[in-house]
Order: sequence, then C-alpha cells, then structure tokens
Amino acid sequence: MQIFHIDTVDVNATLDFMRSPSRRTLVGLALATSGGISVAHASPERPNALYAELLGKGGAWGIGYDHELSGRFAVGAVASFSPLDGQRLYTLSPYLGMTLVGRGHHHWFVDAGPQVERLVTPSPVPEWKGMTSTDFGAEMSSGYEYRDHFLFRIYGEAIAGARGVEPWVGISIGWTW
Amino acid sequence: MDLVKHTISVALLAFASGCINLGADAAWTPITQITGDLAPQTGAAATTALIASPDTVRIVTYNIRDGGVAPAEIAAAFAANPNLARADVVFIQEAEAFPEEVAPRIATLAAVLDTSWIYAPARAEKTGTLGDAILSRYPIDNFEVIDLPLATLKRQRIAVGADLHVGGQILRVVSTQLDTSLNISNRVRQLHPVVIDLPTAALVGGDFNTNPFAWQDGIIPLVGAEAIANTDQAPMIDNYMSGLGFANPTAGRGNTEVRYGISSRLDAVYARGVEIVGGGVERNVLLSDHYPTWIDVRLVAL
Repeated sequence: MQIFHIDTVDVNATLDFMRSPSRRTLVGLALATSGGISVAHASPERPNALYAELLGKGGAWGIGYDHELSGRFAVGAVASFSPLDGQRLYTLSPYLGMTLVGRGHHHWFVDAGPQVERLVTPSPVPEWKGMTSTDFGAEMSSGYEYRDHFLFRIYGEAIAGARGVEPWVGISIGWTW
Repeated sequence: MDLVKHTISVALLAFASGCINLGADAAWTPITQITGDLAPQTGAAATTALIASPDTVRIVTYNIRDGGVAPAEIAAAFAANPNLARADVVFIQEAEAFPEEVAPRIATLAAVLDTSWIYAPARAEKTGTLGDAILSRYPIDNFEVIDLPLATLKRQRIAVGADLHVGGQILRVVSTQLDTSLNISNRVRQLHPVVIDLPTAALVGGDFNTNPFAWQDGIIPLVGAEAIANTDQAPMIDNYMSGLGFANPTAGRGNTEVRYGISSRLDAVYARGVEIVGGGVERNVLLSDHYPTWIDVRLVAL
C-alpha cells in the first residue's frame, strides 16, 4: 500500500500570486486611497489597541493588536488558531492601516497586508498520514471604526491568494490605551 | 419552513456543542438482513445484457438532487448524450421512493435504460425514503449496505455495494453520498469504513461532497481562508484514496457541481484493480445541480 504525506510551503503559488492581477489590484487600491483625504486625529492620545475579531483577518476569529504611528497611519497584526474538527488552521496577518476620513471618535479606515495561513490536517485513520500546507496571500480591509477607550470596527475585506480573491467581513471589539 | 427550522436548530446546537462529531463505524450488511421501511429493493433488466468480452466498461455517477426530475426525462437526457448513452453502470445519489407509488422511481429509470437495479434507502424523507442506487447492464448481485458514521446533527448517509459480473470477472462497485459541510478529517472518517475492506478490483463512486471550504462548526464556510489556504477537500480525498490504490480519472476535469455560483468538484468514480481508459464530466446535462461524471475502465487479470 502506498501512503502519501505532503508537507509543503507553496512557494510557486506564492510567487504566482505576487505576479498576479489580484496583488496588483490590492496594491492599486491601497495607493489610490492613500492621498488627498482629510484626517481627523493627528496626534493619537491612545495609540495602542488590543482587540478580538469575529471572522475578519483570522478566519472564524482572531486576536489583534495595533499601534497608531502618527495619527494617520498604524501598524498591527491579527493572529488566530481555529480547531476544525481535527484540522487546525493558523493565520497571521500583519498590516499597515490608515485613517481615511473621520471626526472625533468616528473614522473610516483602510488597512492592507500579507497573510500567511498554515493548515494542518492530521489523519483520523491509520491508512493515511494526513496533509499539511502553508500558503501566502494578502488582504485589504476597509470599514468603520469607533475608537475611544473602547474600540469597535466593522468592515469588509478582500482576501487574495493563489486560489483567487474572496470577499469576507469582520467585526473587531477591544480597548485602547 | 421545516428546512429553515432545521437549519436554525442545527446552527444553534452546533455552536453550543462546538464541533461536529461522528458516530461509530458500522459494517457492511447483506440486504437480506435489512427489513422495514429502509429495506432495499432490487429488480432485473428485462433483457439480460451479458456481454462476454467487453472492451471497456463505462461507469457514470449522478446525483439527481432530491429525487430528481421525472425518470423518463433523465433517461432521455442520457439517450441524447453520446457519452451517457453508452453507460454500462450508473451510480445514482438522492434517489427517492414513495409508498404511494407502485415502485421506486429508480425502477422506472432502470426500465427505460433496460438495466438491473438496486435502490437502498438511507433515511425517511418526506412521505417516503431517500437513498443511493446502482443501475447496471451487467448482472449484479451480492448486495450490501453500510450506514456511514452519523455526524452530529446531520442526517443518515449510506453506501450500497454490489458485485458486477463482467466477462467472467467480478468487480465490486459502490455508490455513496457523504455528508455536506464536514471538514476533511470527518469526511475521511466517514469514507473509511466504506473503502477499507473492499476487494482489490473495486469502483467507488458518488457524491463525496468534497467542497472547497474548511467549516467552522459545520456551519460557517471559511470563504476568506479558502482564497489562500489549501482547504479544497477534493484533492485531499483524492490523496486519501490514492493511498489505498484508487485513482480518480476525472480529478483534472474540473467541477462537477455548481450551486450559489460556486463551482465544486464533488463527484467522482475512484477505480482500483482495473485499467483506466478515460473519463469526463457532462456539463451539458442540466437536470440537477450536479453533472453526470463518468469513467471508462478495462478489466485486467488479477
């Protein structure tokens, strides 16, 4: 009996994606939204945020942190681990965020960044060894943010990878300091 | 309305339970030991199509969706399609039978196609039953049914098996339909008891429901993750079956189903212990959300 085991980092798929129209579209959107829009909070008083996500960048859920750099820009990352009936999906999504428009505690934001996903499929039966794969892509999100002591975001998202571009949504709830 | 209530109750209970679990494996059971409303039914072709030295045997699998359209319409579609018109064996999923009708609808289809047949109900559905079937121009016997491990809050699925007698040789054939929103681990577990003890020369066909998603609690397809991660279950089931020596001749032939605008490769006929000659997917037959999928095999001396 022949038994297969796959454990790959899909480098070719990643390279294909980096050359793909999907990637160019995301970068283009990010550049298109980066100029000429007024920004409300130029000196953040509470630059750090820790939040939980429902759906969003981490699949079913995630934990995120971001730090506002100078009012307009922020950097952050969301990580998640999803047990899926024996499968395990790990995701990590670092991103660069930007406030597009807003006043007071209310803003419209956009963020984008790469995303890495590792899917581990242990075998539930003795005659199979399961499969594991690690793949790279990118995501771009845009939506509404309320930011005071309490953080709330609701947004739409486009996730792009070697298998295409998929729409997705997310809700973030957390606090700032 | 019942479907809505069922969906809502499944969603609430699955979220509460946190994951989808499977029941215990069952064993293949001769149909003579199955009684009651779920007792399988069989019938013989009007003319015995004993083909002494066949060149190839064509096997089609087709999920006709919720009982399908009128059997005569399915038969007409097969007759009008050159690749389906010469089908020797047909695996059907989601066939239905009703006590108020004189025979299972599969019997009507078999009469038009002039095949022998077995219909095995998986569960009660509406006022009758829903299950899997095998139709064959070749003699078939030694019928068995196996209950697939029942998934949490899902409905019972089965596989039906038979011995196909071709030119003095015996080929074990199995028609099955796996559950819908399972993750790959549970899908492999559900398929495992069906295939693990089959003889070397065997065909396993049907609707494996190998959708492209990973599922959160059997409810939420992680659509976003699918763009990046390799969550497509079709190549994973291919990989599992290839480890057991089964090949899927239509793995590279694209999707076999379209629903909600999502194309998926759900259907296949896996073959072992035979020479594979070819295969295809008939996307011009639009009587179901699935497309008939076929392979040609040539029996070899084992």
